[in-house]
Amino acid sequence: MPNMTVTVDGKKIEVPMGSTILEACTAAGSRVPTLCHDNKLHPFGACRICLVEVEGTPRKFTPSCTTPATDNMVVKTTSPGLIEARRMVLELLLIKHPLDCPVCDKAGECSLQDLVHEYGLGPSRFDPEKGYLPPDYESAIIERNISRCILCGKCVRICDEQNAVGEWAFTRRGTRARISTDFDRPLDCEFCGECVEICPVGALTTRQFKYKARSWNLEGTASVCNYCGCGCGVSYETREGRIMRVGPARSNYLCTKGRFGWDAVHHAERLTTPKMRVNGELVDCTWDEALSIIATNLKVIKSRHGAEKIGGLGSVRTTNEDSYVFQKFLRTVVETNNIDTLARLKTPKGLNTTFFSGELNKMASHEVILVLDKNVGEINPLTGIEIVRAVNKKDRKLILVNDEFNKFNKIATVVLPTSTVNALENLVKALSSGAGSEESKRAAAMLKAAKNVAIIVPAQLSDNEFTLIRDLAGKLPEVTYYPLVRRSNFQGSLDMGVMPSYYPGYRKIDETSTADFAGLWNAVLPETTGMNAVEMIKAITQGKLAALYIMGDDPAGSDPGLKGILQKLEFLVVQDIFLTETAKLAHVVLPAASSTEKSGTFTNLERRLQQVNKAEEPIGESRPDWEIIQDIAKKMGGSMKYGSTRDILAEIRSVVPAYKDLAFGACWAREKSPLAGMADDLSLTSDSIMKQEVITAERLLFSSGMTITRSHEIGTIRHYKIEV
Amino acid sequence: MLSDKELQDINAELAHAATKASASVDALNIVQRHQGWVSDEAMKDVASMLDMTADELDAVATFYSFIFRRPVGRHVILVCDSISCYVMGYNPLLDNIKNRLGIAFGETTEDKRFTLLPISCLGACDRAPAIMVDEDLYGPVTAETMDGILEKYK
Amino acid sequence: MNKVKKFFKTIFLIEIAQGMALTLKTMLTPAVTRQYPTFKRKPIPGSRGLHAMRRDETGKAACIGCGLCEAVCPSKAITVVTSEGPEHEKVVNSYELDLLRCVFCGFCIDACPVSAILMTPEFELACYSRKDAFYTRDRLVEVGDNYMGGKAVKK
Repeated sequence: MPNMTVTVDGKKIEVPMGSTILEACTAAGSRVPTLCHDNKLHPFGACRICLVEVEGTPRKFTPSCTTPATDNMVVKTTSPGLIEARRMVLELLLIKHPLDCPVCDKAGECSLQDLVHEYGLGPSRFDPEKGYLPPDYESAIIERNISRCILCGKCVRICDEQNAVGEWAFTRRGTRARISTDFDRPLDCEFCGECVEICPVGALTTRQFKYKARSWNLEGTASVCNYCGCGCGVSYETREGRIMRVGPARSNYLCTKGRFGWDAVHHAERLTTPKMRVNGELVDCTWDEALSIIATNLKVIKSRHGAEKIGGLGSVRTTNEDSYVFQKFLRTVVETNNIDTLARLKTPKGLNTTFFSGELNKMASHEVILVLDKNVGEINPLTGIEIVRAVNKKDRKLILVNDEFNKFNKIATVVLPTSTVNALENLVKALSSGAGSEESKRAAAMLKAAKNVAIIVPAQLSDNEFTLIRDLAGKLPEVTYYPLVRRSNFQGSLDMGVMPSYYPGYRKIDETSTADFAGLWNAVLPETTGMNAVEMIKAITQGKLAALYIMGDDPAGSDPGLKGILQKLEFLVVQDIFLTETAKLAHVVLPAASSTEKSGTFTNLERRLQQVNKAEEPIGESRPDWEIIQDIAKKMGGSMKYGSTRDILAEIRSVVPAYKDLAFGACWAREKSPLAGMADDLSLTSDSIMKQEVITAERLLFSSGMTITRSHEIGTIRHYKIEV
Repeated sequence: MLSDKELQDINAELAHAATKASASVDALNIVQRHQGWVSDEAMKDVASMLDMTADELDAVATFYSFIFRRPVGRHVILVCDSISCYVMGYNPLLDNIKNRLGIAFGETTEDKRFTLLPISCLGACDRAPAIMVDEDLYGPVTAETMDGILEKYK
Repeated sequence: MNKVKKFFKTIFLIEIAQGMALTLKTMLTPAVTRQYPTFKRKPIPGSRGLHAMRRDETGKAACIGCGLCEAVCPSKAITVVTSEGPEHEKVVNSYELDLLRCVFCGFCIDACPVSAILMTPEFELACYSRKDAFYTRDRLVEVGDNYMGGKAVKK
C-alpha cells in the first residue's frame, strides 16, 4: 500500500494509506488520550476525548480515532483550545461518575482517573447526579456498577467483535442509555472477563478480586496458563507472594478458565504433605519416609519381578522439565520403557505426523476456515477467538460443521448441520463430482476458490474421519491444520518422549538410538520398547505389571472402571496436587507443586516453547515434580544432579534436536520432527478404558478436567448451559 | 410465541433485507402491530429469527420511542417535550392532559384507553405545541381543541 | 616569656578561680533544663506524634480501606488488608502500623481521603517489647478515644 505524509506536532512521518489520524499520531510518538479506542476493536468515536486540531478544517476539532488521515495533513495534538475541549468532555463524564475511587477496584489503572488527574479538573460546574442506579450483584463472577459507566461501548464491542457472544448491548438512549444484558438479567455468557479487562473505568469489575488488594500493590509474574493446549500468556499478580488475580501477559485474550480458574491452586484440599498407606489408611509422613519407601519398593519389585513389571504414567499438564526427568528416571534408573500418558487416548489421530498446527495468530491469513469440531470454542477458547477475529476483522469465510447451534453459527458463511463424518463425506463428494446438497456445494465452491484453507481438526478423530480429512486436503491447494489439543502440555510430553516406543525428540527406539541415548545419558537402557498406557492397564489385570508410578494424572477419576484394576497393583505411587480418586488408591501419595508454584517450560499446541515462572511458594511441603523424582532417583542410586530447571532445559536442548536453538516464544518447525509425513500414529485407541465420556449437562468450558472443577470461581457458573 | 401471521410477515421482510439484522425495526413493528407491544418473549423469538441476541435487539427496541416495551393502552398519546413546544406552552398542555385523564407519564388509564408518553421532537415545530395520538399529528394543541382530539379515539 | 606567664598562672590558681566564677554565676541564674518526666513540655501545635484513628458518625473506625496511606508511606510502615462484607461493602480486615518503621512524615494523614488516620502530639513512644510498637486498628482507635474524649471528630 502506498504511504502518505502526515505532519504531527511539527514532525513529518510516513504512514500507510488508510491510517486514522490517531494511528499517525501514535506513529509520530505523540500521545493522544483515548477512552473508547482499543486496537483490538473497530473505531467507534464515542468518548470525544481524542480530539485533535487539523489545519484547514472548517470544524475546529476532529476526533482522531475515527477520522482517516489524508496526505499532507497537518495535525496538532495539544493546544490551549484542545485542552479546554478535553477538560469539558471530562467534566461532562464526571456529572454521573461517582467519585468513589478510594473503594473502587479499578483505581490506579483507571483511564478516567488518569485523565482527570492529568487535566487537573477542579469542582464541577454542573449539578452532579451520582449513583443513579444501584450496582448489580446478581451476576456470577462479574459485577456491574452502572453509575461508573462512561458508555464507551468497549464491552459491547469486544463481546460482539472478538467473542461473537454479544452479551452486552446499549439499551435506552440519551441520558438514560446504559449497557445491559438480556432484559437486565444476570449474565449468561462465556464469562471470559474480557469486558472487565477492557473497561476503562470500574463499571465492570470481578468478584474474585473485589476489595482484595489495590492495583498498585500487585507484582506481576509472566507465565503460561495451564488449562488447555493454547498456552495463553498470563500474568499472575501477587501481593506478598500470594496470587490475587490473573491478567493477560500482553493484552492477549484469556478465557474464563485462564482468568478465573487459577483459584483451584488455593483450594483447601490441596495436598500439603506426603502420605503413605499404613494398615490400609493413608496417613501423613515425612518426605524422607515417603521417598525411602518408594525407592525400596521399586528396587525390591525390580529385583523380584524385573524392571518390565514397573510402569509409569506421565502427565500432560506438568512442565517439559518434569516430563523429561520422569521419562529419564524410568528409563535410566528403573530401566523400563513402560512410559506413557493416558491423554494419548484423547488426541487427534495423526498429530505430529500429518497434522502440525499452524500458528494461531495467523488464522486470519487463510481465506476460508473450515471448522470440523463444533466445540472448538469450548476445548481451545483461543482458537475459537482467532476464528471470530478472522471472520469479523478480515472478512474471512467460515464453513461450520455443527448439528446443534452455538455462537459460531451467527458468524458462519455456510453451516453444514450434520455430523463431522457426514459433512466430510459430502464435501469430498461435492469437490470431486459436484453433487450434493445446496450447502455442501456452496462450501465446496468456497473451498475450491480459496488460495489457502485453515482446517480445525477435532480433538478426537475416527480412522474414517482421518482419511476423509486427508482426502479433502488433497483436493485443496494449501491447507493449514489447527488440531484441537485439550491439555496444556500434551505437545511437550510427546516432545519429551513420554511414550513407550520413542525417545525424546521422536527418536524411535531401536538399537542405534538406544546406543546413542545410552551414551548421552551415560546409563544402561532397556533394549525393548515398553507397553503403552492401554497395554499397561491390561497388564495389571493379567498380573504382568506390579508397580505403577503416576505423575499428575487421575485415571480412576476419569474412568471409574479403572479403580478396581489399579487396586490390583502391588505398589502404586501417585504424585499430584490433589487427593484424587487415583491418589486415594495409592500406597504413597506425593504432594506436587502446581504450575503457579514452579518454573519450567510448556510447549503449546502450536509447538511454541513458553516460559512458566514461579509466582508463589509451593503450598505446604509440596515440591516441583522433577525435584521429587530426582530425589527418588538419588535414593535408588541414579546420578541425576540438576540444580534447577535451567539445567534440565539445557540437557533437553542437547538431546532434542527441535529444541536446540529454539528461543522462548518460538515454534519449532515441523521439518525438525523425524515423524513429519510418516504414517506413525501417536494417538491410542481402546474399546475398554476411558471409552465413556463422562456425560454431564455441564459446559466443557467450565468443567473439563479435575483442576478446573476445583476452582471456586468457576464453580459459581458451572450450572450455565450453552445458550441456544 | 409468534403467531403464524407474524412469522409470515417477518419472513417476508427478511426476504428483501440486506442482512438479517437490518430487518429488526420492521420485525419489531410487525410484532407491535399484532400484539400492541413487544414482550420479552416476543423479543427472544424475533431475535433468534434475526440471528441476533435478545440483548442486541433490545438495544434497537429501546432506542426507538415508537416501539413499546411495556403494555400500552389502545391509544398512545405522545407529547413533544422539545424546545419549540416547550416554549409554546408544553407545560400547560401537559397539565391539561394529565388532569383530564388522571395519569402521569408512562401510565395507562384504567379503562386501557390511553397511555401517556413523552417524545423528543415530532418535527412539527411550526405547529407547536404538538402531540401525536397513535399515528396522527396534532398542533398547535390548546385546551379547547384537546376535547375534540380525544373524542376521536375510543 | 610564655613559660613564665604559665608558671604564675599555675601557682596563683587563676584558672581554677575563673572556672569557679562561672559555676557560681550559673548557680544563681534560673534552670533551663526541664525535669522530665516530672515536668513535661507542652507540645507545639501540629507536632507529629503517635497516630490515632478517628471514629465515624456510627462509632466505627472511620477507615474505608482505600490503602492510600499504605501506598504513600515512604517507610512501608502501614499494611491494610480488606475484603468484601456481607452487604457488598468494603471491610477493613486489618490495619497495622509498625511504629518501629514509621518516620513520622505525616504523609498518611495527607493521603487519607476521609481523614481517618490522624496524628496526636503524643511523643512518648518507648515500649518494652516490639509487639507494643505494633499498632492495630483497635489500638489506634483507642489512642484516638483517649485524645478526643471518645467523640466522633468531623472530617
